Amino acid sequence: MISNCSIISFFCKLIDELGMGIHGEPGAEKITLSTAETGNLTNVVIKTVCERLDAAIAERQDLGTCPTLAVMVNNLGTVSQAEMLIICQCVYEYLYNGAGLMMNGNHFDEVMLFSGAFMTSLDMNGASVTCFLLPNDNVLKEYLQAPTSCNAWISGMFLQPPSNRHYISSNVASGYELIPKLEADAADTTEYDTAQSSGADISDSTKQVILAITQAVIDNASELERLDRITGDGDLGDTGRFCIPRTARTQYHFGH
Amino acid sequence: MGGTSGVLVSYFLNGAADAYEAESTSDMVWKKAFVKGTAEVMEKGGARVGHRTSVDALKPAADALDARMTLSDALVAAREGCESTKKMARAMLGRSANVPPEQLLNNADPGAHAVCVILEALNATMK
Repeated sequence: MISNCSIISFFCKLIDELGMGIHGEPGAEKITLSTAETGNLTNVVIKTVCERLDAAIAERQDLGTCPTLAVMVNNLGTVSQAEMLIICQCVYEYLYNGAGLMMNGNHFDEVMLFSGAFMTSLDMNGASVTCFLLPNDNVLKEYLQAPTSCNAWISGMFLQPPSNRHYISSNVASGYELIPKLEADAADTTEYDTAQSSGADISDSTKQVILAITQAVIDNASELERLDRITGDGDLGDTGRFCIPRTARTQYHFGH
Repeated sequence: MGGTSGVLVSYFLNGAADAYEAESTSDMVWKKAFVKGTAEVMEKGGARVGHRTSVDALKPAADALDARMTLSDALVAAREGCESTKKMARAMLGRSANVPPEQLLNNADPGAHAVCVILEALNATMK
């Protein structure tokens, strides 16, 4: 439980109570963090929470065969949406990269994650993490997924282990790397999908014009951005830096 | 302006292309293309002179070319149009329409400024 749950990386208040109810009562333990740890507050806190949870589950004898693990990350009421997502990511990290004995995603057929303000508190800030090992009769699993008109309930999601997650990568350099003079680009055109170009032959003089306009926009990108920041939404600089050179290179095969 | 600019440029180029299709290459067809492109931007985009948009630079430039003046003259007209946006306290269209006067006054409209940047490059290259 974190006393001040604002922007976690900026607020480094020590944790007060670990493992408590929601009425303001003292927790099972008070912990303090070293200065080094406060810089990585959420990771440390959530990892600690998960470790304690894991130990608590391991102590129980009557678990039987449970193919499904349900994890609930509960917002006590004041955690921002961004921070809830960070906390969920920390839980995910623990589930699949941690050394959990019981709270370990690799030991289950399915892992469900529920994230929301399911049980809130007037007195306390922060979040709680709850584990629910679902027996293999699937009855409770079905109940957890049943539709409801309760508006505080947010459906869970089935987590994918890291090996199943696909990361979309782009083989195109970021716009800022495209800024250098286009005349020097001759060697780079193979990066682009030239099948998408118009294929039309354009005269050298037209190419010169396009080059000149592109370069002028890039050169003035900062000033355009400055004006657009004051009077608009500030994206005109990046449009110049990213989109215009990219169009020139993919549509007109600059460098050929 | 930024994301919208791509759409507006495509309106301009479509209008300009119409002019090239209408008559085969003549020396002055590019002026007609500029005028048509501008008309297309104004019709599809909806802006008029005084609305504090790129049209405030584009239309004066197009008018100059339509009157058979040179590209340099068009550039001067565009610059004057861009300068005039600094005194416009309200924008009728675009993102600036949501911005209060104290932020707009004494700052040129970025779209109008972009028109000037492009015309300058054009003017320098087509000498």
